[in-house]
Amino acid sequence: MVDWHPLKRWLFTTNHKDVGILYLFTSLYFFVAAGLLALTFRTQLAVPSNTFLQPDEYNQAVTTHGLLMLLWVLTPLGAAFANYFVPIQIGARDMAFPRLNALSYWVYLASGLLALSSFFAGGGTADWGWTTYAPLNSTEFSPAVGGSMMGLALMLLMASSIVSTVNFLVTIFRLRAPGMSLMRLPLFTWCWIFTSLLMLWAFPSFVSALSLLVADRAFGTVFFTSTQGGPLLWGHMFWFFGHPEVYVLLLPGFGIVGDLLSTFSRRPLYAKKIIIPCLAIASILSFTVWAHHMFMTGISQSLLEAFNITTELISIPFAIIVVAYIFTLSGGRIRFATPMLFAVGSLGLFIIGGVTGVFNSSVALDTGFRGTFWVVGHFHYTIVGGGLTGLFAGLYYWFPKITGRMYSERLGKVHFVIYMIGFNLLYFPMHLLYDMPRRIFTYDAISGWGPINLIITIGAFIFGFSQLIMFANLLWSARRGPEANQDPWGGYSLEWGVPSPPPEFNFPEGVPVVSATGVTYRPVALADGGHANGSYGAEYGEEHWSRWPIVVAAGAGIALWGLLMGLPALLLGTGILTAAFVGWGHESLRGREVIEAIGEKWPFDRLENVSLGMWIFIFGEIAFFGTLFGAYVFLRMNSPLTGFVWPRPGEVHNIFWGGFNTIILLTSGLTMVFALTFARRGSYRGLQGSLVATFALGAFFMVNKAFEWHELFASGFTFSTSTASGIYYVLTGVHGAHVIAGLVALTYVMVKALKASSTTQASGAVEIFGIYWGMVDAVWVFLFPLLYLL
Amino acid sequence: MIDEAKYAAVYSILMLGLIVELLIAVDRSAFGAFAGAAILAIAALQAVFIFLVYMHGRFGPRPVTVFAAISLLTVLPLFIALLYSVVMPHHGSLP
Amino acid sequence: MPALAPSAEQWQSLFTLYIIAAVIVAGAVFGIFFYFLVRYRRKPGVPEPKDAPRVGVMADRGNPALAAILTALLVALFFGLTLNTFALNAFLQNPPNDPNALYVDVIGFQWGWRFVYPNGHQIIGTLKVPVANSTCTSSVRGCWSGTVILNITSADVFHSFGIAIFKIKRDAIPGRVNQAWFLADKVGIPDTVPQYLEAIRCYELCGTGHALMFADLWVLSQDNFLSFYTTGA
Repeated sequence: MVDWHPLKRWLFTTNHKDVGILYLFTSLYFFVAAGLLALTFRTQLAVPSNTFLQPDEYNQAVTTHGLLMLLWVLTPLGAAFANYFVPIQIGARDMAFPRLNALSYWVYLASGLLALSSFFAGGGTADWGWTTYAPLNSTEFSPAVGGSMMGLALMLLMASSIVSTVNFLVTIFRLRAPGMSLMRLPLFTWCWIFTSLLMLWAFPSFVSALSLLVADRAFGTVFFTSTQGGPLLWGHMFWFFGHPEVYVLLLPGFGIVGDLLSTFSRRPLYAKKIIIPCLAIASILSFTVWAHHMFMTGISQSLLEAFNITTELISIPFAIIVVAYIFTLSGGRIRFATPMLFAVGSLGLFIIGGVTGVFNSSVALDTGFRGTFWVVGHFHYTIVGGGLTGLFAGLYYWFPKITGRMYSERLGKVHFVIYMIGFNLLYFPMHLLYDMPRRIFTYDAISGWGPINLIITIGAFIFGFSQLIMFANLLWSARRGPEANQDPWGGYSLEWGVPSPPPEFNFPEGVPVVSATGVTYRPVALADGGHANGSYGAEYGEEHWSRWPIVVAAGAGIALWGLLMGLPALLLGTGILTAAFVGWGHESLRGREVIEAIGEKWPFDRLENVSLGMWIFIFGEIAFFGTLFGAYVFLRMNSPLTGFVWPRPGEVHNIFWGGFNTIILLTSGLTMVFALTFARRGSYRGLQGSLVATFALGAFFMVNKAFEWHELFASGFTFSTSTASGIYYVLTGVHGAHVIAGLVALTYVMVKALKASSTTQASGAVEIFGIYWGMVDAVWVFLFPLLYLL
Repeated sequence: MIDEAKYAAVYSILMLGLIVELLIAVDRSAFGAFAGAAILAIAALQAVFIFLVYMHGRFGPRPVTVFAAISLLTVLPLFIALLYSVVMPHHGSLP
Repeated sequence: MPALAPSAEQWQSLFTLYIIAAVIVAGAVFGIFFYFLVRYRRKPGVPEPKDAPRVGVMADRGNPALAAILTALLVALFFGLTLNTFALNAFLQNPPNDPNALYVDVIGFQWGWRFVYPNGHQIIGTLKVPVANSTCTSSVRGCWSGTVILNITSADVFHSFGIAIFKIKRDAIPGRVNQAWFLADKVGIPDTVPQYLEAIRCYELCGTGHALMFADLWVLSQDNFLSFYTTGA
């Protein structure tokens, strides 16, 4: 690493390895926090009629344990390894967008701090379970502002994840080294691809559900409190996200397990060409099973039977992968080092979780299991057993690569034994408690649940404290452990071919070139003569840092906090955010180059990095608006059954005003594509004129919309009038926010066009913005008829 | 020149579609049950044009079309289930 | 302990079926897994396999037929399990067409259960029902067959009504009425049949009183139930 002051390095780094380490420490910090919360409620449940926690404290502890573990621990821990190792495993020098990468981390930290501060927001934090069912999630039943703050923290986290997803997908598809075909990628990277794709489609759905919830809580809409929307709307929207989310949690650890089984048994992965398609099928199927979380809601039985079947089907690809994993061991020479122990343990625990999952697929058995500890046992075996244990295996496995030192094997093995004992004492007995409801703060002795709960609590403490062994081992060994050689395990992924820790640009000997016989390195003439410790390829400058990501995160966090807690903070946060965006824009204009592809790019050979990034982002937007449209359809079709009459076309909204605004927006789309043709043809004036016209038309659209809203409010059509009004305001409001964000970005494009030495230099930015602007138009083209004409 | 003509042509199609939508909305009775479907079909067509032409850029979006197909595949079950679950049997009356 | 209701009995049978399948499948999988772990552990004198992974190299391996075989086996297994599940589901979801059934409205609220009988009687915290009576067939009138049909809803938030000993459950959702039914085989009250104490519970987090949202079950003979029904005592 470059010789930087530690503060500058850790606050401003954009190096993927450093960002990975930041994720590692932060996710483990949240792990301890969420784990301690668990120990508090396990203490409360250890004996009948306990008074260690008050009921509301218990509910807050249970809720935040879930939210923190799922969203601030598991995936970020996976992201820590993904950040550090995916670029190396594909043979790249860094991520496609290093500053965005740092931004993802800092926004993740800001969102976590916002989540934790919700405890202190007066009235406590969210206490409605991580599943946030309606109408308990409304201000009527849960007025504490901490709940809303948790909602905002979640939305901020989603922003971080979506940016990270785009970054990883572009990186993996476009920055692979020569010869590194997709099939040659290690299983960890493959699983990270699928994790990212799942996040890309599932997380925006969560954001749309949260948007409706925040609208209810902060703006008085009635989506989840009225009979037209209500709990079923939340159920569908939340679980549409919620089920793919569990595979987001599982896959990174699951992928590590595959690579480790292969490495430590000294044999290639069995049927890798089957495993990858199985992961793809499972990922797609994961979007078709969500209503198994709604088996008892009384909706159509034939629909639920269909979900029963799809849920069973999804276990098939996983079963194939599990068997392939096991067969990997055959003919091997297995070395039971700590990473392998955890990998084997993870696989075993996952098998148990998977088997109990089949029970949960049964719509009939669910009358026994729904809402009981059986379910808690099942998902902890799969997520903690399959997911977290696999990630811990990865931590031991990659520790020598990250630090250059070896941990204590003996302590590692001790940790493993106590971990497995604690885990099974903690989670296995839960399967016996299938009569005990979940999330109850106490129970009385007569229920007979006391002894088993005591065993579970003892297991919890053993399990929790076993992690201290690992922390002590790793922290001590990082400083004082014996030096590790470059490839202590005999791994096959590219990180084992570079020094420990890897130098700044990963490959000191040049571009890795991969073939069937192994990897060679092709030294590259350095463009600027610098970077003796291993840069190659394009003109990446020494600006491997930027001060703006942390500032953006700080601004966003403060602004969101201020949205609920006070105008001064909101203004401060927004000010910081604006300054940060301007600063970032300046930095970009100063000629930072994007890392370009020099190797494998299939199937995106002809699409450039930033273009591909924008397209991937667009598809996240499709999922986001798609679920909002889904909510609209649900509300619209459900209304007659509840006696609410949806406004007829023309009754509330002026069709022609809306039509006129549509013409304005669509014309701005035309001027935008003209800007692109002018840019390509070198017409400076044409480019400027078109951009200004686009801006003017977009601004006019928004002004028009503001007047429209004003008129509607004056006529009594407000946020809380009905679900019809609510969904109108949310849809047009969210779309309007996209227009405003577009206008801000357009300002940057106009400045860039102004400063560019040639129009072709600016045409890249113009094209990217044009894609975004096209999406804004395409969404409106659906919004207009849905809201005004039908 | 060819590019501008292409975009102008798409723009006219979009405007034409908008006009037809407005006409249908104003005079629904002539279309009866098909009014809604017709309007949505026009909207879908408009979106396809915007997607394929305006957002086309220099490089063909063949792989991104695959993305689009997959995203429809996953959002579509949601739509279907939402619609289907709306048709829910109610038993008894609210006490 | 004999089942207290046909629903529980049938649920138990299906559960047992799934357990048997689970034990067989998990047994086979773990069997092979542990066998390989032991058989192929590193032993001195045994050389590294020729296709051992090394940096940049991962050979192809494996028989794709594995996927087809596993899929076929699992589909066959699931077919069997699912048929049985759907059969039990049909039983649990569809109350019998019984003119002598007792209809009770169940309203969950923060934090208790209110039961409303057809004659307007209301109780909070105790559900009193007639025991199953096989002589009261559909051709007979003036008796209760013991079939209890519940119309379940909520007065406020999302609750879930469950009778664990009968394996009956249905969400109690505001604005909706969901139906469940059962038949209780054994006469008793909490003092005589301890399982009837707090037999009814809430299974969805509904606020700070979620843990305390239970109700007792009283299964009464025809005469006792008649006297309760007419006098409210």
